[in-house]
Amino acid sequence: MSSFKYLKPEDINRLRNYEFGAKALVEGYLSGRHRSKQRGSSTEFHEYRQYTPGDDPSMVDWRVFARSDRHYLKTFEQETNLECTIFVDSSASMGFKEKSELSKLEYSSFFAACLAWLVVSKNDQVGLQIFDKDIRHHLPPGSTRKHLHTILNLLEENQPGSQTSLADSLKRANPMIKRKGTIVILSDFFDSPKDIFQALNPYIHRGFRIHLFHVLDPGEITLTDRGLARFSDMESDDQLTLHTPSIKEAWDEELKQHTKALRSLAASRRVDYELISTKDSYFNLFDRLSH
Amino acid sequence: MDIFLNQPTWLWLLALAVIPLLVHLLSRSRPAEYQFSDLTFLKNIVKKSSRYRKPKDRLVLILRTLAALALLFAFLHPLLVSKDPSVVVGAEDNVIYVIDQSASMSAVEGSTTRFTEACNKAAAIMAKTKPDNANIVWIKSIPSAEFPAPGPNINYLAERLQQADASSENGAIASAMKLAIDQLSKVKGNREIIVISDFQKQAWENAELFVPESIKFTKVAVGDTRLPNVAIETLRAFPISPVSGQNVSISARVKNYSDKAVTTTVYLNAGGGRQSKEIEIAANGQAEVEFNTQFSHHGNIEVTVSLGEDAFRGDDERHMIIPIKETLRMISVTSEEKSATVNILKRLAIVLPWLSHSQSEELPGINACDVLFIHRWGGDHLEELIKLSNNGTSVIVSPSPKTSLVDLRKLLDLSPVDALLSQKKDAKGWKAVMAKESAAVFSIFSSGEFGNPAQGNFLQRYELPKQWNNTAIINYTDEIPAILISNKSNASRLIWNLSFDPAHSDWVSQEPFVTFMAELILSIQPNIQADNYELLVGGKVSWILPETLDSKSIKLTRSTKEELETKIKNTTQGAMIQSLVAATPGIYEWRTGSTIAHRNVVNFPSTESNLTLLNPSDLPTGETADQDDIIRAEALSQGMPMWPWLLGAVIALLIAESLAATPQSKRQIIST
Repeated sequence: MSSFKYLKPEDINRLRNYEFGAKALVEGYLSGRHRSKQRGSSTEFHEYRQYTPGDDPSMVDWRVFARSDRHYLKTFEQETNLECTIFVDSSASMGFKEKSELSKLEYSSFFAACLAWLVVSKNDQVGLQIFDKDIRHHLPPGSTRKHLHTILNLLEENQPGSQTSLADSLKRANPMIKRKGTIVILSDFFDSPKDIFQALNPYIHRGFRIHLFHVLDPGEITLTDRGLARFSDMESDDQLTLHTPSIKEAWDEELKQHTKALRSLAASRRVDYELISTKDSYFNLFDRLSH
Repeated sequence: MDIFLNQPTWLWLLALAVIPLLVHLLSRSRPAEYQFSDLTFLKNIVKKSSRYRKPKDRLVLILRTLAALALLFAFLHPLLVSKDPSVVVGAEDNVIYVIDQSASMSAVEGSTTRFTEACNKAAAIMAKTKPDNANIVWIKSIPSAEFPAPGPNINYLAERLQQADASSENGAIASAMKLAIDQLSKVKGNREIIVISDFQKQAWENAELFVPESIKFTKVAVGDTRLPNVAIETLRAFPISPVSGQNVSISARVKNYSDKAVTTTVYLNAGGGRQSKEIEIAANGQAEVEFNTQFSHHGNIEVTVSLGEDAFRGDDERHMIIPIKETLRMISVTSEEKSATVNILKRLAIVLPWLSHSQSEELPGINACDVLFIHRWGGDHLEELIKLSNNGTSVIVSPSPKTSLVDLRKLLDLSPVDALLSQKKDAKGWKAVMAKESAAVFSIFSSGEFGNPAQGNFLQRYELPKQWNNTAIINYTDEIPAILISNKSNASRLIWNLSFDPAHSDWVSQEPFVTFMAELILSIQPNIQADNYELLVGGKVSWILPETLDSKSIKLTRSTKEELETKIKNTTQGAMIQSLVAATPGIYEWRTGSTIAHRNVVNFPSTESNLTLLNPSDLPTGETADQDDIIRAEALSQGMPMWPWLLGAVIALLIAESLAATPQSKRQIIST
């Protein structure tokens, strides 16, 4: 496992220490939300234990009571059926890094790798969607280690691509995800909030739990003072000459309005939204997930 | 209100005002380039702010440029000049611009003539200095002024400066200055004469300039080079009034007014014929070009000699009229009814078609004949003979026994002798020979082909003093003069001591006789024209009409093209028809119908051909100044320095620029 770029041994150790947090994530949060209603083939016998007051009388195995005149409860190992799909924005803009050691894509990849390991380690299924303006890779949910390795390899081979269109990618991915589950989207969200949420609406209606992680470089959150500078768009050939001190406040305002719009739309649709700086540890995102 | 620049040489500094523009343009093209994740937000910001950003950018740029301009303009030391009476106090300014309009001012330097440059300078000075009263006096052969006295209508003078052209005349400098001084002496206030001229050396170095001290005298020079010029200075014909068929030599003197040798072609147009000769003239040298021609018909023939064109074209052409006579008129004066010698001359006139002969007992009047032969002259009417000779009649006297040597000496201005004239006869006779073989009259005899012109035996002669034989063209072999000649300016005077009388010589029967007589008569024909065909440039073309012509039928044309207006004046000599405009170089024809009744020529004044200039500072009076000096002096005396105001403007503009450039809101952006 330590040979993977985005899954470092120390991260795995740290994730193990996230036992409580992980349980909360998987059982308390994810499991609770995704309790299976298909009892037959989906349940497996676990053990018998003696009835203690307070247990649900409906759980008493009456056959055993008839043979032994004792009250035993038959317990089952419950399968949560959690499916978590991680969307990683791999457009050219995600390759940007200025005030951080990691680019936004690297940062997202680290978090995606850790999340995948955590989900698989709890026997849940995790899928991966790598996209820019198109869906570059779609890996359906799986829970095996091999599946995890495939995810890690895909993340490792992934490079910033071309222009981004999160809305289009979400629309295209909708028919690919058969069962409802959790969607974690890692992107810089340089797209119209209205378009993004228009694309998310089908998922919301299908009952998906959605987490939006708005990953930005500190240099994007606070525009660096470069004096008069010519900016080249990483996703196109566009260039723009600007006097950065003059636009700093306007940039802050623009970003504030953008995040405000995202946050507002997310709140209205019970979608989780978080603005993340690549300067911060990606483990903070697990805290966000466990809340 | 005018703005005068005290340091115009720094005018180029204003070009530095483009620096803010260049900084603006160049600074946009070289900022550091950065890769940025997405420009969507930045574009939104620019889009939102562009509505007010661009006008503001332009305002900042304009303010910066204006500040730079104002600062640079301050370095030129501008002066605000006003002629507002409330601003300027003092006496009235009376200025007379004396502008050289002589022929040398038509020389082309660069793209304009000196005269145009002079007018432009005068107009600039007038416009900038705005004198209260002004006038223009033109220097030409007869100087003229635009106003009878300096007047305030400067606009009219400016128009006249635009309309005027250089003349082809000499400039009467002293008269023009006198005219200007006379006008200024009648006005009060500040008085100034500004002479604008090329200061042609030949015209100005001896000009008499007496300007009173109360009048400021300023000289402004135009034309700063010594233009190379080749000119035809003179044009002559010999004989000046030939007979038809006679060889005529037309010679032109061509002068080179330059420091380099010049090769040029001289053309002759005469009587419908054309000849040309290429000549080389040394630096500052001259050459004589001779054309030989003859005219088969009598009448007034126009002759034009011209040069290849040069920078100064006025003097590249010269004209003359050659009156071709039908015959040479000879009159024999004798009291004898039948004279053998007169008969010989009569017979000679029959042989020579170009010679007419008549006989008279009295002396004819002036211009009645070309050659007067007085047979057996006794010394009568000596003064009249001299007068006739001076007026263009060649006089030949054949002595008689009564003639005194004193009279003969006086007639030919010979050396005095203390002797008496005596006649001698000799049965053996005497022989005569050419005394001066090089004389023109013997040109065809010098080869010996035609023999001895005085071939024969002379049995009778007068013993003229031998000391006179230095003026003889034929001497007897014992050195007694046979034909004495004295060539005066207009005609010749001869003493004839070779007998025609067949009783006294066999000369007339000798073969060379007719040839010699023909050559002699042609060589002594008068060197004066009865009429003066050449008129002075700048004067009026005029002609006293013959009584036979009706003045109403006469029309005057110049160079056969343009018809000139004329008027009739009555003079003591008769009706004179005169052109209204001044004569310029060319050929003038007086026509009655299609017939040319008379011709006149007007030539360029040769004194104007030397375009060498004089440094006006070398003239004893007046101050030399340039156009700008005069305007500067005027501005300095009346102008208000503008630099403090300009510096104030610079500071105000910079403050405004800094206010405009300082970001005042979070939406302020500078971008492209």
